Amino acid sequence: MIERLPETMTARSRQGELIFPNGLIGCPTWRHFAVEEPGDLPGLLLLRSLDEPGIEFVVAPVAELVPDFLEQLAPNDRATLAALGVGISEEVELWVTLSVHDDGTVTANLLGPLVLDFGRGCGTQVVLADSGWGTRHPLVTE
Amino acid sequence: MLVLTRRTGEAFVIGEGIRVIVLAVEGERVKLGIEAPREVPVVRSELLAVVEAANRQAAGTRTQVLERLKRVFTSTSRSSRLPS
Repeated sequence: MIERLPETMTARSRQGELIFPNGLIGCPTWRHFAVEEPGDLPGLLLLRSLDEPGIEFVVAPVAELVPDFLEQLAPNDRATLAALGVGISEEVELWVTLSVHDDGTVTANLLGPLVLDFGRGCGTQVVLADSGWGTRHPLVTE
Repeated sequence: MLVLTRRTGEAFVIGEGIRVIVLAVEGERVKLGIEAPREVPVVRSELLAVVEAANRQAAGTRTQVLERLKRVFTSTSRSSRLPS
């Protein structure tokens, strides 16, 4: 049980732009994002669409939320991520979008995480269909 | 829509790099094998709809997420927690 943002969350500068060549799943026109850091919540990032005003995501690194996430994945999903460089290149990281719901619960979309390649400045959203994770993994509950 | 009839063990090809094989037919379930380049994502369509809905939901809650997290992590209350 974690009761606060992990202190190990790094504040490495990630600011810049990311291109998702295929957009996000179901949203193929959301391709270009500005990457910003919310100053008072280190470790998180904001992805602000440069294609459509008002589209903004708060994202968190999977490794900080579920430290053994990669080990828990089904082999097929792990291979999918490895092919994209996750766990292989230090500049390729797995992040998730966060949502808040009417009851105040904050959830993470671990079914469809984002592979962010900060070295090349690009990203891809994948669906990890075989590992049992959902789009509403609870992070903060009442 | 192109409609094909295939028997168990038969296949069809999409483009130059995707091959779909009928492995078994069990009642109302059809087991398919798919050979595709690694860069071609193969995903059950119902999962795409779920992820799209999650994307659209997350895209509009930036301010609320940040405010909620700030409240949680600046509060001295122990009532809100991050389950691992």
